[in-house]
Amino acid sequence: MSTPTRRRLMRDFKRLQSDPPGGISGAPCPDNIMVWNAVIFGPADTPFEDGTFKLVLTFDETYPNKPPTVRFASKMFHPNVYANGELCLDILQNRWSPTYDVAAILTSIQSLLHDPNPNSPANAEAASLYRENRKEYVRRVRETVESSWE
Amino acid sequence: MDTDIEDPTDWPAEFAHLRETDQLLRCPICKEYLDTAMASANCGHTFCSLCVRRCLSQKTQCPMCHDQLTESDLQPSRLIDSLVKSFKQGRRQLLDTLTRNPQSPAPAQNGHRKRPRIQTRSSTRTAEGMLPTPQATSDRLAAADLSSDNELPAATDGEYLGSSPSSVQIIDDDDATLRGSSRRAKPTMVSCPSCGAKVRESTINSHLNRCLAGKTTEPDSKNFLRSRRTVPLSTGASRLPKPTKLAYKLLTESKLRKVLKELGIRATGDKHQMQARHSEWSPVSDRQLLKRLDVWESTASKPDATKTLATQRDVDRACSQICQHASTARRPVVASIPESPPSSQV
Repeated sequence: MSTPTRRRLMRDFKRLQSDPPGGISGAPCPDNIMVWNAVIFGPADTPFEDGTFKLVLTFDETYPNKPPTVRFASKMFHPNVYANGELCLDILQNRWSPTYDVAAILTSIQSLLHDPNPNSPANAEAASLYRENRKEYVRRVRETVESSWE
Repeated sequence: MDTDIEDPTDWPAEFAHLRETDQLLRCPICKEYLDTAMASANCGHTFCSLCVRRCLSQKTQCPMCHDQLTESDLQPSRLIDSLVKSFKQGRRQLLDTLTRNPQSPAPAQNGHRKRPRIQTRSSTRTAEGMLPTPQATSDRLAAADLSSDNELPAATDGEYLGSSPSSVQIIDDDDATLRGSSRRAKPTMVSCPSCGAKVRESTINSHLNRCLAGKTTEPDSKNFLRSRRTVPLSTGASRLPKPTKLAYKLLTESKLRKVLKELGIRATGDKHQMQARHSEWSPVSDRQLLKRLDVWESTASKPDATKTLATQRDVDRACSQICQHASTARRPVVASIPESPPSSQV
């Protein structure tokens, strides 16, 4: 059954294929357009460089009026990512706008890797290392980068 | 994936301006072409009426700039509606033309073919003293392509020319002639062979067309007035009562049920369900769209179902699929910070 949500998701997919932003890719599951797999490549000149971080996006029929649920499937060490992979990102919560599409969500997450916000930490250890011991923070992030290749 | 989904990226990359035009005529929310465009009086952002009203029922701010926005700030934008309509009509044709032969588009070739004909014709007319008598006009018509299938009602033609099939051709020719002679800028006045009125030489042929079609000199304005008088009457009768906002908290369940029944909306379920149904219905002010409410209800009541569908099993499978692709994904990362992502402060 085609609903506005499904049509919008197919449109998002078409856009992502025909005009992909750099360093991200994503596609719906072949048998369920409401679940998407995505990969974000770690931005250059950040500790996340060379990482291939996998995410799962889960939509329901309230999209795009409500944001999807986004979760990292890869292990992450980032001030704004919880241990279970969930993100603390304003545009996926109170700053969500129905004008965002999948490409916008993924590019936002990509820029979050580049530019963490240690003031609202989801991972307290990562946040304090980011503030106080950048060298150790980078080392821990590099570990997750390597594990993201597996 | 789906060929019926039209996207600005359908336009070849070298026609960036067309991509942009296509993008601008779309709703930022549903990404479809704007349907009943409504513009914010404050910030000017434009959306489909239904899309923006649905948003505003949740949050009273502009989906684009997050400025304060309420339904009373929305204004219809008929110009945009007309633009969307005509763009949609020409889209396929233009796209076909551009993708088939982007170097020399067909319309330009047509223009080249026409120009020599215009010049010979206007030079003949100069020799005749710039007075297209009925005889001259019918000569021209006889010379024009008679194979055209389009024709005006024979009665209006027969009065002057005696030959009907070519009357449409004259429109075509005269448009061209108009362009040809206006380039020369000679504002000579001539009298219309049909009604005798003094008309500019450059517009005599289009004026003559109107005369031949049996219209008076100002047909458009009259039609306009007539349509303005009749349209509201005809649509007003079938219009539903304007949706009103309800203070759900002040209504008892039975009162809300009564309101829904009066509006012709299904009045089943508990108060919460009826409230959700009414607030979804509010932006939809047309009886035909009531069936969309049923579709919405059958899908919107399922979020839990879709969530269970997309639970651990799907997520696990998704993860394993990504992991399979991980080897292909392992390559140097390109510089990848986008120019303008949505703000990403936490």
